Amino acid sequence: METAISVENISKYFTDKKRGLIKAVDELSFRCDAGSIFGLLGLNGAGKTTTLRLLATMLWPTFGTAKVAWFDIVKQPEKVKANIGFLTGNTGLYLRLTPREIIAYFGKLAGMDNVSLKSRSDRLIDMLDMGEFADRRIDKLSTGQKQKTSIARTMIHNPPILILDEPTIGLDVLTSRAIVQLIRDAKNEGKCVILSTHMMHEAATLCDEIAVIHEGRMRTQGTLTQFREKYGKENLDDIFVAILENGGSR
Amino acid sequence: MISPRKIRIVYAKELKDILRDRRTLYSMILMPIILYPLLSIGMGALIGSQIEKVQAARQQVVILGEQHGPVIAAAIRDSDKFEILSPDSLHRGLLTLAARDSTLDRRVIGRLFTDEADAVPDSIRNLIFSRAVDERLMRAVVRIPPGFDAKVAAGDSVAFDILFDGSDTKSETAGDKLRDWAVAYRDSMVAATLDNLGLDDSVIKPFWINSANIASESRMGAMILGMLLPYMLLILLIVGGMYPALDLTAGEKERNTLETLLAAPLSRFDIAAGKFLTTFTAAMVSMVLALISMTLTAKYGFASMAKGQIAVSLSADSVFWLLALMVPAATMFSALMIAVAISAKSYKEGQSYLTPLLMLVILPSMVSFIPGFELTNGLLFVPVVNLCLTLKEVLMGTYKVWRILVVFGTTSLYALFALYVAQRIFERESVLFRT
Repeated sequence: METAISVENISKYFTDKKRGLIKAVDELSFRCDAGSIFGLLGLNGAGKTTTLRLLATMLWPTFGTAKVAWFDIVKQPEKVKANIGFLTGNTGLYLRLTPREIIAYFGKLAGMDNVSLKSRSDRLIDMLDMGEFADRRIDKLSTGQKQKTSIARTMIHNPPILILDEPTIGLDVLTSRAIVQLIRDAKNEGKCVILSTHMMHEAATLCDEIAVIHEGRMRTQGTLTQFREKYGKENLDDIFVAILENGGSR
Repeated sequence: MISPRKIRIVYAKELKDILRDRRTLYSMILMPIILYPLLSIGMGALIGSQIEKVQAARQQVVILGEQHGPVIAAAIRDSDKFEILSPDSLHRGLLTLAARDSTLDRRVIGRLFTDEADAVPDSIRNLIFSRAVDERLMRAVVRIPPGFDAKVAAGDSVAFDILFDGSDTKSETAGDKLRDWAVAYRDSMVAATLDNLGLDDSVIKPFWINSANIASESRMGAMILGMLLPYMLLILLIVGGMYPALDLTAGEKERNTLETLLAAPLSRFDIAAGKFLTTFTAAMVSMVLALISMTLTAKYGFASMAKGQIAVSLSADSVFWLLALMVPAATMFSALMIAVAISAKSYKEGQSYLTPLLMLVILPSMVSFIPGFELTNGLLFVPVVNLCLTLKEVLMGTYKVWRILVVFGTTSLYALFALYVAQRIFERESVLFRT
């Protein structure tokens, strides 16, 4: 399978007035393939969000680099951004615009021309069943309708790579289902999906491969089957705890 | 990488976004148009009518020692300009006051109403009468000393005391009116004496004094405009741009939309530029609307206020230079506001950061109110002060083009520096992701 994301020894350090140097991400390396779903698992503050922000070129790595969709995140950040769809569970939307306007805004920023933008936008609105509220202001919409708008916004330029940071956090069952469906569809279309979560069962049902990170460092990486064999446990949460407890050699 | 196309996309979206917000419509459009004219006309009318009221009213005056000068006392009564209260009523009022306030001595108060009033030190007397003014027992006191009529008749000079409290508007007016009345009364006495001696008025008035204000009506209007407008316009640049600057930066952080924009395929520079241009536009629109509305206000509003039909007109040249100067000024303020607002976590925090910035503009802008404060060569380089004084010259038509160009140049330099700072702040991860 084709490699869509390759991360090589990437590190991101912050300096905090109280705590001094923080190694939010510390020499991480991993690969994700096209047509597969890659899960980043870890506790709160493990470095998941920072890793994804590095891949989305919102942050600059302190050391190391990564290739996302064949482009270097340090040297060609805008090419990278043009090829990713970025979504988080608490993504906000412009309250005074309509879903159609928001979708068009991000389509235009991705460099789409008016004709392809219109047809793609109409198709997404149709697919996500947004027709009824596509021209209503965001502040008049329900949470589910907003989430659909976010999905359409993420997918408007048909990116080969999706970067999803805790995409279902704080969403109700119906709304998170829409996200899960999006992830599955993306995989079937041959896209590479990288998502972060701290819920093992979500990772287990979706991900082809899982990486567990802790305090910025890689603990272990593999498929769920491999983990079950290695740790001799069936329960996913137990495996996760076992990895955190004895998986490290720090 | 800078992309004018993407800056345009951001700019168009931000404009649409803020124009759909009622708060923008208030701060950027409605307020500059409505509020200032209302305020200046309203205040003007109120102050004007209040002044007239005070002038026309008959102030309460107490005459002490009336028996020493019954003629002049009767003349005061006859003038019908004052409401004469009896000394007894004042005396009673003060005694009631003394019952509550131990600092007032009943015996001292009593003495003030006798011929031995001079024995009371002035400071104590003033204190007591000031309290009486505070308590609205009266507004002024006239004191006729013993032997007044006799001395006047003998041709001796004698004092006529008027006591008022300058910190009380009505009391001050009473004092002024009493003095004017006394001067006129004395003049009439002099005229009568001269007449008795068979002499003409010109003996004591060797020449007449004619002083005339030769400024044209438009110059007077320009002076009033020149004082007010620079201050108002500079503040409106800030007020008009403040809301978009906040909403598009700290507001986006608060609503979790900034992250999405940062992950979109455009550079930080493009984002910052789009937001800056939106703020700049709002500031300029506000300022121009206010300029139009205030010129009209001045034309109709001040005229009714001053009753002198002061004509106000701005020449095409003045308008050109004014707008030209506003461009770097709006650039400087907008860039500063963006730089400050993006550093805030939330809309509210941003507001508290921007308020001091507003003060930094308001205070130096007040130089246009200081009489005789003019644009010296050194001041040409002081930000805001140079703008304010140049705008004043432009409005009054006393400008020199070279000075405008120097101020335009220095302000542009400051504006470029502010833009540079704003752009650098926009590149900082710690600022953008500060939540």
